[in-house]
Amino acid sequence: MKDAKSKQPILDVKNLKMYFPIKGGLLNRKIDDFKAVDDVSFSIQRGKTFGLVGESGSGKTTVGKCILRLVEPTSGQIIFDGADLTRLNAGQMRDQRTHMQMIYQAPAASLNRRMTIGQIIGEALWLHERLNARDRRKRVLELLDIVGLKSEHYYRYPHEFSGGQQQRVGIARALAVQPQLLILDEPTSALDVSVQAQILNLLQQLQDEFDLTYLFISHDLGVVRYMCDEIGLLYLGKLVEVADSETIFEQPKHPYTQALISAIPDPDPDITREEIILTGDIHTKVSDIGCPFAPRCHAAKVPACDTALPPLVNTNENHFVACHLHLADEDAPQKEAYA
Amino acid sequence: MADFITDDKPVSIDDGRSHRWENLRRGVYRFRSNTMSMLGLSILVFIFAVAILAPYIAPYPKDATTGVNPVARFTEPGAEHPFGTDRIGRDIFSRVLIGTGLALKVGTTIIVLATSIGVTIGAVAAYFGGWVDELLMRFTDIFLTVPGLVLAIAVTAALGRGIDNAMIGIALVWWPGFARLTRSQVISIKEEPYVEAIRGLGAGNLRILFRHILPNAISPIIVKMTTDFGFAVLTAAALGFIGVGAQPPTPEWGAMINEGRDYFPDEWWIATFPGLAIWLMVFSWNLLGDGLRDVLDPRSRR
Repeated sequence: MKDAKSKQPILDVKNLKMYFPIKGGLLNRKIDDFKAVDDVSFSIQRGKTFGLVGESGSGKTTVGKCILRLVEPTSGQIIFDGADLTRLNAGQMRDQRTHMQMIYQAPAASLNRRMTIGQIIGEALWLHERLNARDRRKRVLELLDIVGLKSEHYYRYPHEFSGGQQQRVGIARALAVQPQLLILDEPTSALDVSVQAQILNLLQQLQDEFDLTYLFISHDLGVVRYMCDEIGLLYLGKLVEVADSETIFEQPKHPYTQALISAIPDPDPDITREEIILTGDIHTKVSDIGCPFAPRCHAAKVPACDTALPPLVNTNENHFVACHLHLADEDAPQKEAYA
Repeated sequence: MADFITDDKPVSIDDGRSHRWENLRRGVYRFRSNTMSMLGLSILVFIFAVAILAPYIAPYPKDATTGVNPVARFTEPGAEHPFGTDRIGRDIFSRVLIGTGLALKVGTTIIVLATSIGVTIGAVAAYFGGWVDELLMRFTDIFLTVPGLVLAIAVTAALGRGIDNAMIGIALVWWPGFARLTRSQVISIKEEPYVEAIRGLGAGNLRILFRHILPNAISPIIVKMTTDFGFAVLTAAALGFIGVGAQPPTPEWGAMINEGRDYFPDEWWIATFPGLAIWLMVFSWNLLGDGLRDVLDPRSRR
């Protein structure tokens, strides 16, 4: 708060929790919670890209949907541009939503297959600013040009496009409402490698041009490194490590991060690195009280691993880690909690 | 070469009508290559033509309403009366022809009413879910637990005999099928990312439901409307046959079979020709429905 307005993050997620009830028993009563997102906090500065990385089932997409309030979070705050979204009613949220748009993993499924490209993008313009038909058409053609499509694509249907082109349409539709924040939910994971690079380049170009802020959700560390300024690693709904992109890749501290980074294939066949093989999968979990990663952890354990949940603490210049090993051995002067 | 990704086929005209036309042509081709559905369509074209022209081509148009000709009663089919005459000497051929329009009107009314009620209830139940779904679908179940024909007879009898009340009665037992079909379609479609995307753009529930979900759910509904058309006519005929539907002297096929019942098999033509007309109607709508299913099924679309 003491910082200047420009230093205030555009998006500040505080203690976000999303619990889905598990129902069962004779009367179908709630017997437990599935903690899809459990106490996640992070913030993104305007114009920057924050990468949210995790395996399938880690809760990364749920975080994105909570921010857009496509699902109602159980608790926590989502402060967007100074306003707490969790306190808005449906009508106010509808006004806010256009400031944030989502780009989907499966581009074909994110477009109505019975509408032409012109209609799809045009409808976004109609919903946003009630443009008349002529202005809408003009603006759609501009947007098609911005995302690298051509005017003759105006009357085509989604199925007539390649995956990359469909994703461009999705991006054009999102840009139509002049958003400030784009939530990119694995935007390239369904695409060929050559097309991935084109879409990523387009996204970077658009970020510079329109001063966009990105929340980049992905499991592909290579892509994340290329795209993101800051990275948070999510494991079973909890952030285990947050730092700027450089630090994550050069000095990973959490054993989970270390394992993921060691698994990135190196294009040079002569270089052999020691790869850390994780056992089990993300749902391998033994106790409710210990570190959620403990059952799969390859690092030397301390007794606390099985008995206490490690908090996310600042171990070094804004390098946040949730691991008992780093709580124990580093005597960093300030061990404040993150955010 | 640089833009080969966005320009994979040379297109010279800035017009999508050619693409839409192309899709339509493929559908027509698939429909036409199915002999049985083309047969169904041909018969229906013939039936519609008969319905329109009946007042002009029927040899004894008065026999459809008040005409009687006791002298010519129980005439066997022949040159003068192609389908014979009934117990008061009315020309069966004229009555069957003029009854065609009535059968089409009955089928259309029942199907349109049943579809409007069923699609609305099914779509609203599926879209809003929760207690709305529970309430509407349990209400639908009430109609499904009673045999349709019995309920239709009861409703019609309560409203009063006659073809108009029979149509209302049948429509009231017909909609649950459409409600369930629509509900299952909408439930699967509403979870698609494009629906979420359009909500994220600020669209309201009505727009999402009627502009984005229902158009993608409509194909199986159209197929069901077509296939059910024949059965709706058949049900109306059944009500006519047992006497709660169309009343004499209306040339309704079911009622005509009822009139011929007492003289079967000696004066077989009185009941047989209206029966054949009903059969042809049901048969052709079914063939058309099957053909449309092939064309409209999204899995077989390009």
